[in-house]
Amino acid sequence: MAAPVLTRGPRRTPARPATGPVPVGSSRQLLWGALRTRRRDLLAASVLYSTHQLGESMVPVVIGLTISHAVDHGSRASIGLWLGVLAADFVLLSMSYRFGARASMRAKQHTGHQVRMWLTDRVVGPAGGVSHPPGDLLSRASSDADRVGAYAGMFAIAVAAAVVLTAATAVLLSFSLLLGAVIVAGTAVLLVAQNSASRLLRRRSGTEQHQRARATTLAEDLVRGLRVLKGIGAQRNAADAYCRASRTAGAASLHATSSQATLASVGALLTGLYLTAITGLGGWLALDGRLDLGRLVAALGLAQFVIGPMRVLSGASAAYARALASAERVREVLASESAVQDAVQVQVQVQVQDAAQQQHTAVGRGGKGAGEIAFAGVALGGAADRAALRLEAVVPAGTMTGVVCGDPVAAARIPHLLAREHDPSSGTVLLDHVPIRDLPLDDLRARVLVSPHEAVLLPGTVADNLAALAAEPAAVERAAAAAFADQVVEAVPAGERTPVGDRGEALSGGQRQRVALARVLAAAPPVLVLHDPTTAVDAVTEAGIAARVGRLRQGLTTLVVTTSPAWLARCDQVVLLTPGGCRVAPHTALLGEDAYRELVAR
Amino acid sequence: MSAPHAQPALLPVATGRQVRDYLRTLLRGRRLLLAGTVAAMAAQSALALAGPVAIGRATQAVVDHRSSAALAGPVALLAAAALAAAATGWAATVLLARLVLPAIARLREDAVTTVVELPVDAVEAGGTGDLVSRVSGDVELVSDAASGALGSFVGSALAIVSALAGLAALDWRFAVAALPAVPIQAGTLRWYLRTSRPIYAAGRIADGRRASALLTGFTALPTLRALRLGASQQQRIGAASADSMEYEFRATRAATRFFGRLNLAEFTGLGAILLVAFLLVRSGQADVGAATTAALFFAGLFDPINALLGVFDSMQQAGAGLRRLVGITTVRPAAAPPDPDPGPDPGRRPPTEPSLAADDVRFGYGPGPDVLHGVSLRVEPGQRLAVVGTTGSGKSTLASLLAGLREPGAGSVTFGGAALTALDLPQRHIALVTQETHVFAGSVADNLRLGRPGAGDAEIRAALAAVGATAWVDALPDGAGTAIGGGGHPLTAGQAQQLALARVRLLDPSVVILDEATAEAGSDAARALDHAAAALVEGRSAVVVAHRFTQVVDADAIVVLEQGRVTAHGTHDQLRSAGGAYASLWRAWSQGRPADED
Ligand SMILES: Nc1ncnc2c1ncn2[C@@H]1O[C@H](COP(=O)(O)OP(=O)(O)OP(=O)(O)O)[C@@H](O)[C@H]1O
Ligand SMILES: [Mg+2]
Repeated sequence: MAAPVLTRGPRRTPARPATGPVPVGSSRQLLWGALRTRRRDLLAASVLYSTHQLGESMVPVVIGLTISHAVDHGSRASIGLWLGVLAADFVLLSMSYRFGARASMRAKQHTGHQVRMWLTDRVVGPAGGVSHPPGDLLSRASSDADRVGAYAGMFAIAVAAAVVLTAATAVLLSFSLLLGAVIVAGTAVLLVAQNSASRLLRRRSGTEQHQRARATTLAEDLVRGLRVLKGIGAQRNAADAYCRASRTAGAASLHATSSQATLASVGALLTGLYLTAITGLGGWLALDGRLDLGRLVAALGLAQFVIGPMRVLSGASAAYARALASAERVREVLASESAVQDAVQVQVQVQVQDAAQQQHTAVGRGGKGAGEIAFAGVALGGAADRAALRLEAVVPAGTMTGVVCGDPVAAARIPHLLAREHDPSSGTVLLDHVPIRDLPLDDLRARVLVSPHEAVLLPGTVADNLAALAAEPAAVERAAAAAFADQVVEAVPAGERTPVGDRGEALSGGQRQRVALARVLAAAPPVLVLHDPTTAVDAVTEAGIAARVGRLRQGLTTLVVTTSPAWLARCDQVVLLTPGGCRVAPHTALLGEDAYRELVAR
Repeated sequence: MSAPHAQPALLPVATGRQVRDYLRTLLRGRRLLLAGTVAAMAAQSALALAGPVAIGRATQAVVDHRSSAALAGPVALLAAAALAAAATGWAATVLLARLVLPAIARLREDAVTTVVELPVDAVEAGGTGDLVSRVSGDVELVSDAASGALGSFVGSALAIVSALAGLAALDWRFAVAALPAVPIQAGTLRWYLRTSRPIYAAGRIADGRRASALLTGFTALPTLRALRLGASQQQRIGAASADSMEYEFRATRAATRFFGRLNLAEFTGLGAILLVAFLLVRSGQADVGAATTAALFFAGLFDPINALLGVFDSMQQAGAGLRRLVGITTVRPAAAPPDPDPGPDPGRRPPTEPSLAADDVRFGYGPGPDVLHGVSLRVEPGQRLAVVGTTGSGKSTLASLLAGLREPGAGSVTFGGAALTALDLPQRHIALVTQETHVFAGSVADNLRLGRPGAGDAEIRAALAAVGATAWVDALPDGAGTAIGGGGHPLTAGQAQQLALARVRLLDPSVVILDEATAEAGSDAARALDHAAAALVEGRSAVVVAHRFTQVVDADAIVVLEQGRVTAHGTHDQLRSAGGAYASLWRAWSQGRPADED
């Protein structure tokens, strides 16, 4: 289990106790690892369910005893006594079921929850690298996690069935070795046959879950893009596409169900044949005089009785097949490679070998630098022709620096690199002379706060969003004023208590952008990186925002990737990035250059 | 237990009656399949009776000391029953799946088809999670519960019926003795149905909240990482998940109490029989054999009765899901009833290009105050109208009304003189490029084909070329076949806008409305995007909402919107010299942009 340990921002996760490394080696490991987290519930449920079975099987026995000892001319006291025994048995079976079922439900729900938490922890974790559509992830975090849980819910029932089966086998063995052997052989054949049949079910169940996830993905995508769709009248086409996916998913479910049916009929057939064998064999033994009548009747009764537990085991193997298929789908996500290595992990791994680098890191961490960013030959291109774009510049601490880049793809890469969404193919980004790769992600992101251009608001009110990163009301207020988000609060119906919707869609485009800007300003980070922060805002407001932000960020480092002259005019210096190289100069100086004017004039 | 934020206005939930009506239509034409399923289930349950019969006969053969050949009959019967049980069991499961799965698929398809016709605001108010959890989680719940319920209903009903056949052999006094169990069972069932319904209903809502929390996290990953909000979102997800678990636990507590009370009923019945047997045998009115038969008979009957009553639990669960699913389909939008026909030939343009007009339009979101206060404007055929105004002044709202996405609260939007909302699929002629871009999960070509599913590769290429996207699309790993959108190749905001323009290009509408469709033109792409917009507008009527004045200055007419009112209109030169809001917006824009104009 050399799985990478999932790392969370250490400062912001006080709530949940660590559960140890997540077992991602194989789907089996994941499934059993998840079950192991609920050992106690599973044990309790197994014991209680077994007790329940015992109580159930005692009912006819107690009835028989009551009749022979009390009904058949016993005393008043004896009928009272035996009704008391019957009551005690009912209390036993009822209570053991009650608490067994509750323990089992706890195991089921918490196992599913645990798997869900492992998955989401990996997905929303700082290292990134999970690239599945949201609807697909939702499907894995709900349906698949629940299927793993469902097996946990099935587990105790299966254990109780196995206990009953074992007990019955022991009793039967005491009657006749041969009959006992038939039970043992029958169970073995059943399990082997089911195992091979369940492989098909596992595959089909995987396909079923995949198709369901596809339908869910489409539904989610469709609702989130509903405005866009309706704008071009394409909603019906999109709904049709969903219907097709839904039908495919339905067909896949049918397929999976039919192999489940096969699995169940194999079980039914084998248990039936096993009953046939016991009856034939027992009858023959009895006729032969090797088994007395009483034992024959008991043996046949038992044989019929164990069919129930055998069916349960057969059902459990179907649940197991499905759970494994789902565990594999969860594992795929857990095992996806991180987009970037977190220095925390690296430190642990190279502790001994690379002491020098460690020290280096420690210096970088310890010395709360002033917030100077340096780009040393950072390649911004992916495609061959863009490889020529190399960022070579220093953003002095405490300045507001603009970056102008003609290629929007390359420009978008700059904030991404600073946020360590990924690392550059070549070159180094340094924060106060320390390569940012060597800083723990959480430290880096606390000091260099990047507001992505597509930053989304989170559900809640305007106030929730404004204060998402800063607790201090005065800081929030200052930030809101600088981003002209105070005007948003005035414009919306319930002021700062107005809900913004799922992702901010109840605000206008410019309102959304201003709230997102205020949110990061309030955190007052040593280094703030903005990328085209006011594209949805009118020119008057934009100019006001740029001026106020410049004032608010006085003495702190601010990097603005933009071509908007309103921002560039407020910058202490501007980096002009062209295929020919980097030029660093004030905005006014660069305005003399045609290339620059071309870029910022639109 | 309460959500941390204001409760969203969820989509409606159906009444029991609506659910029944819906199921009736769903089952229409499937009665044969239903009958077949029930028959297979009944056969399977009946075959289980072969066991005791055969075993009884085998025992009798032993008792009678017959030859071992006498065993052949019972053994053959058992073997045949085993084979037949396997076959009928298989058939029952598969037939049931064929009955339930397509029906439930139909249901979710109906739900989604209805949702897309609802006003955007109604859908957005509930949040994406509400709908998505209905068409995924609820569907799963319903199909599981429905399959389980039908199976155990048929099985236990049959067991009860076959057991009751043996009732005649019993002394009637024993049957009467068992009667006290019945009121307990009836009362328990009533109590349980009352208790569990709200738990299941609330549990489904909690499941929707969990889906919302998960989706919020999964759709905001870069933001969560950059702002270090991942851990707090993880906590929210954990809380929502724990909350939905809590309902499951409550339901289990109720269900185990339910079964506990049924156990009490069993004991009451059984105890009464034994007591009566004791008295009857004592007074010599019955023999021990009859007493034994009666007691074992009733003990055997209780299991299927419990199973039968347990069916109500499954139905209750399925009902909670069904109400949410059917609930969506009950809100048929007033305008544009969903029409299964493809409608008139797509892309048809009216013979004479009509003009688009807003007349004294007022509009407010939901219960909130109006954001448009009597806006009137007119776009003549072929004319380009620009709308400018400060942020939050109502431009996007106006654009959505002009495109028919929303209905005015008062006043009217007309196209060629007819109210827009009365027109069938007004979007056939009017296309709106919304301020919010969305890249759908799928290939680049899939994204463009959304508007016109039949478009050929050549048309796709032409549309991409028209918006100047060919170069970067070709540079993608698989060209136009590259997967983009959620989980796919990331695009810049500008690229997403180019695709949005290309979609409309492919649609070829007679009126285009561009809401900040070139706002992301922050660089080299600006020229391409401006050209794309210009090319798109060419030869059509257009409404252009833009903060970027490159899109505004040469418009045929410009209206200025301030706080939901048109405060000025005219051409660029007229408005600039008139002073006011337009002039100050223009001044702010042209500052620092010395190269162009002036
Ligand atoms: N879906 C919504 N629900 C509730 N209120 C909304 C919604 N969309 C917009 N509003 C409110 O309506 C007002 C007008 O918004 P609108 O989006 O029309 O402005 P806009 O002129 O397009 O602004 P921008 O230039 O910032 O895009 C704003 O105060 C906004 O908060
Ligand atoms: Mg807008």
